[in-house]
Amino acid sequence: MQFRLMFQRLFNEKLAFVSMIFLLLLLFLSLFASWIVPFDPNKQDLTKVMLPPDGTYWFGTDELGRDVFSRVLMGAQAAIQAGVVAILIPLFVGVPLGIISGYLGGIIDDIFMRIVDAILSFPAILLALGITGALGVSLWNAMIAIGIIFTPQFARLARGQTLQVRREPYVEAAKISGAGPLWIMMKHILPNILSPIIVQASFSFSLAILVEASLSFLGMGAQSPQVSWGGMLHQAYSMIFVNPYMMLFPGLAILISVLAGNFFGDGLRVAIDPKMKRS
Amino acid sequence: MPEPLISIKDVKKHYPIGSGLFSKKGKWLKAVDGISLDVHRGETVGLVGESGCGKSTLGRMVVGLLEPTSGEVVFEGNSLLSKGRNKRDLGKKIQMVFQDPYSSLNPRMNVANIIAEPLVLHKIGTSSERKKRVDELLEKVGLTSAHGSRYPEEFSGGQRQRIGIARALALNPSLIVCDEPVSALDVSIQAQILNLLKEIQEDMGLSYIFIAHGLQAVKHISDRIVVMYLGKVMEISETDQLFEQPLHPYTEALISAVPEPDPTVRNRERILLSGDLPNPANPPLGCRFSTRCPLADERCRLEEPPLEQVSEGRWVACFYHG
Repeated sequence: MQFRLMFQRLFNEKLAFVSMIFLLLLLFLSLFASWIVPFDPNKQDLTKVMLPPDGTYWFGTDELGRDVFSRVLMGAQAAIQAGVVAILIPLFVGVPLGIISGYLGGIIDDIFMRIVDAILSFPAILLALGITGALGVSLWNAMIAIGIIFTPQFARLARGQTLQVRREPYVEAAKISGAGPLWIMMKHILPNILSPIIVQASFSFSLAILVEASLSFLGMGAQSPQVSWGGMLHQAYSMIFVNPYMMLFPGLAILISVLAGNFFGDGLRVAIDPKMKRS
Repeated sequence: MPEPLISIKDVKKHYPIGSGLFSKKGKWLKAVDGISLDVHRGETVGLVGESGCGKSTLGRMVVGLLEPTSGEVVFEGNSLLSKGRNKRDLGKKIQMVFQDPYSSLNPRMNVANIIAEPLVLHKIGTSSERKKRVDELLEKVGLTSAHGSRYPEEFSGGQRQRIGIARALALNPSLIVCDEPVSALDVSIQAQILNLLKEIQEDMGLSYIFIAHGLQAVKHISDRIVVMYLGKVMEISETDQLFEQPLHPYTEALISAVPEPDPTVRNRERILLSGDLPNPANPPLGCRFSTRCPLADERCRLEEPPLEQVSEGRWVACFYHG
């Protein structure tokens, strides 16, 4: 019933709702793009290179005569994969570590948080470059790298929230009822700190799309023949004065996806703001 | 005298203060500083004192949320300080009702799960037996089984407190520590909850340690009252005797703070204590109450009066009592 209320509030946030629809569309594309695309995104046709947009090639063609529209649709796959993996790793690693750290405190807390501080002291994109460099260049490794750089933020957030609820009387009541630390963390702390974590996840999702595009642009992410928006930008970069459309459409795709993620996160934050729930 | 249900023996809780890296002075905050108290079966003991006097700390040590620094709590003949399985089994019999009916129920759990949680944790019954037990408990506290599937935010403060009581009853405890269970409620609801607690006591024969910051709240429910000040017991007495003839000047001040319902009784002597509660980290040298006591003299400031029995069941810690 709480989720129904949340959904209603989200519905009232028009921008967030439109963003959610767009993100769902993106998800749909990432799953079914290969069946939807009008042309094979990797099929070259050297007789039709760098065409401007027209009725057949909606977004034009690139320097090898590939259909940019099909490639933009296919690029959603890499973007969504990056976003999903990049939030799953911190959700399943960072959040539990943060809860354990915040709930148990003491030496465990000190060790975990110093590690987190150390990771956070690197600029994110440099760390991502370093990790992909170490693991080997591929989209998969880029996604793992993004997941690793997001983990500390989630751990910190979860820890901070845990510190707030760990002394709540309902936690003490559970202790009196005979609950051990694991039970308390799973049943009492996690459900009560989930809201801000979900909001953080939706922001991280859009940030991950951006980081993946950056890594691919720098050649450290998706490798040909896999299509990614960052990779397309890199390609188009050298052709910018010959055919600017090549750069426009993947750039727009990144822009809109990131904006949608952020708007959705904002709306979600309003929808589950604990202060509004109290009233 | 039958064996007491629970026997608190010279229990202390000291917290280290200012023990940072650069300021290890080894100072201690003596939240509870040597308290002994017996509670018998079916009895309600009121624990009264200003905030900061250590009454909640004592209550939390009784239910096992805090470990005493020294001293012992003996429950049904077994020490509560021994660790392990034994402690968990003994702990079943001591439950707690909290002050804040809002934060003491997990907002993400429905009422049936909240009440059943102690049963699940102690692996009591099958899930259908537990469901039946939850319905029973809901009825016992004046709710219906239909309330079980709802969430705490759908209930008023008084109803939430009933849910908290049902949870405390789930394991059939023999002692419930009530930490100011009605102070957060409307006056009209307070009486309902107090009556409910009384009914349950008559029904199940359990004991209460009833914590409150004023005498008014415990007047009608307590058999005996323990008056605390800065981590020490000032006076122990049967409730009636305490109100008729308070022995300790601090008790007198507390009694004069209880509102008088009869408007014809006017110009009642009102004892207003001057000053604030002294810092518990740095209590007065002699009697702890000496800084605010109207009777205090040189002796009180230098020497601490022991808690002495003055008659059957009456104890007081004052040189000039009565």
